[in-house]
Amino acid sequence: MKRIVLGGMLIIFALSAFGQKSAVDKVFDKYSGKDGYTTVYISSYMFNLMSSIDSDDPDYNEFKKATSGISSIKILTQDGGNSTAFGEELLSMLPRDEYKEMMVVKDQEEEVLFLAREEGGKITEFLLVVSGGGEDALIAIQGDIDMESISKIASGLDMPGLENLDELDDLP
Amino acid sequence: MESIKDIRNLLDRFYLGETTLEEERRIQEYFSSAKVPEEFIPDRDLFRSLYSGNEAIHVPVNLDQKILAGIDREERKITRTRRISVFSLSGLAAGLLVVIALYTGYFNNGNSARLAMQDTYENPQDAYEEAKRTLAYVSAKLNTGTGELKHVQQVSKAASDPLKSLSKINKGSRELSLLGQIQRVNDMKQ
Repeated sequence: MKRIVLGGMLIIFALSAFGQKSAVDKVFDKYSGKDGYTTVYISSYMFNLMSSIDSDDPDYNEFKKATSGISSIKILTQDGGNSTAFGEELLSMLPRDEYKEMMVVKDQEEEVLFLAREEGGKITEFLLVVSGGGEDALIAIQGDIDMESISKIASGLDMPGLENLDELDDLP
Repeated sequence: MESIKDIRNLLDRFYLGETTLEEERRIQEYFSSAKVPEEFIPDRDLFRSLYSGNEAIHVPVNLDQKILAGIDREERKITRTRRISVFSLSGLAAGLLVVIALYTGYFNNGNSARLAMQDTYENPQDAYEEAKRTLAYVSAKLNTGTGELKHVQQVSKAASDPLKSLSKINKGSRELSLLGQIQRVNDMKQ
């Protein structure tokens, strides 16, 4: 009898463990497949595949280094420009006590909020909530995240027009 | 009185179960006499224990039913233990399943979302482009944030430089005070 009760409790525990999802997953579950929203999901499996592609891209190694610990990237955007309230909605759905606010970058109307969840001194989840600029979005990066190598990506990327800057030095 | 030979013969037949009641009574009678040869002492003891009291063995009422009930009980106990072992086995199996479920659940926690969310890209090259674009965006936003901090550093650096020139003014004013003293000496001369 004791065993049966214990077994039942264990099963319930196991089910609850299965049912547990991070808040971000819940947000994505809510909006994925819905009309007017676009979700992009890149899984750890895909990251594994990516690490084996032959690329002559000069940024490829930088990218590989930055994504070595990443297990998934999820992006959620609302289609169409009229999405000023969407960012607010996203923020209200995220449990703020679970995430540390890293920084807020305000750029004219757009506000970008950086949230991070830390586990054992490592960033395991990194969220970017863009709101107010008409292109509200949620970007979630999960895994063992190396912020430093991510921040290096932008400097290594060939942004249009950026290459002209180097030529400035050569001018008399 | 029976001869020793007779008794031996009777005893042999008794042990074979061939004696009649009359013959058994004769053996008994012989053993109850005082003089019994040494070789018959074990047999005498046996007869004494068998026929002492000499009363008819009292069979308890419903003995057969009690015996049958006892057998039934034993059988039931056996099936119950078997049932219990089936229970405990299934309990063990359930426990194992739970452990396995927890184990796989724990390690596939990230994958459980995959059931709801399918990989957007099937081609790693496309996924790479998108991931790169996203990370570049994140990175750019990160850098604008930290870039602003650099400006703050520059401001504080710029602010500390003029302070250094203030110390030069201090130095200058000390020399001025020297001049003042010279002036005072001159005044006293006059």
